[in-house]
Amino acid sequence: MELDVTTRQESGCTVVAVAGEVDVYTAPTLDQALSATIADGCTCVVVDLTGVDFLDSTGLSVLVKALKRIREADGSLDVVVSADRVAKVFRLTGLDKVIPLHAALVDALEGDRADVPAANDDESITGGEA
Amino acid sequence: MSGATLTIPPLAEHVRVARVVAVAAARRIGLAPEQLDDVRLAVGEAVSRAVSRHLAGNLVRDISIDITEVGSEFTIVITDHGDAGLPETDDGVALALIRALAPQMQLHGSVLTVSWATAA
Repeated sequence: MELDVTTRQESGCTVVAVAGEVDVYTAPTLDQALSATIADGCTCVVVDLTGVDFLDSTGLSVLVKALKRIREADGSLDVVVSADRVAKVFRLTGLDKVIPLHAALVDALEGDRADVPAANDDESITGGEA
Repeated sequence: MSGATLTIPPLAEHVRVARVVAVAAARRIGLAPEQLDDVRLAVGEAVSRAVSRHLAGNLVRDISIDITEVGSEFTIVITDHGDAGLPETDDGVALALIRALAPQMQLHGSVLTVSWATAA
């Protein structure tokens, strides 16, 4: 099963839309797309995971790597997550406190932050320390 | 008691098969939908970790995934062969996630066991 990753410009940002399952096999596809986007000089990047129904720690590490590089360029990385099973991975790892999550693409593009319901701190495997 | 045993070569492309088989078994024995999501992610992390350990050690032997249901306990045992002086792999997040997702988790050498209780 391959991962479908498409990149487009919208409202001055680069939207990287992902569909499928992001795991140890498919994460390199996302990594390549994000690396190419960053190499092109895009500093407003929105990763739209609306079409993703599974994401594991391999996928998270790809996002963290991209976040670091974009922040070095004074840019922003936002993530759109609609499925709770995917949002849960961010909450459990505490990454929801590091990467701005949005329930819908329009919210990410408008720059609203933290419109995914706040996590229960007890749920995080990092004890809330991100 | 019902169960299944799956063996996969240590390749990233086979991790998805392990997730699908584990979730199918969990659904069949009646775990709740949110538990199925936890099984999917925990097994995915555990099998990914096993694959990484094999790749790090250049081990070509299969990884085994044993699924059993005994009484009200649904157990999955992931066995790799990475216990002979493997290079360290960065598996901290994977193990922490597995601990958070599975009510019971044990790691003894190259054998990782996760369990869920079925509804009475």
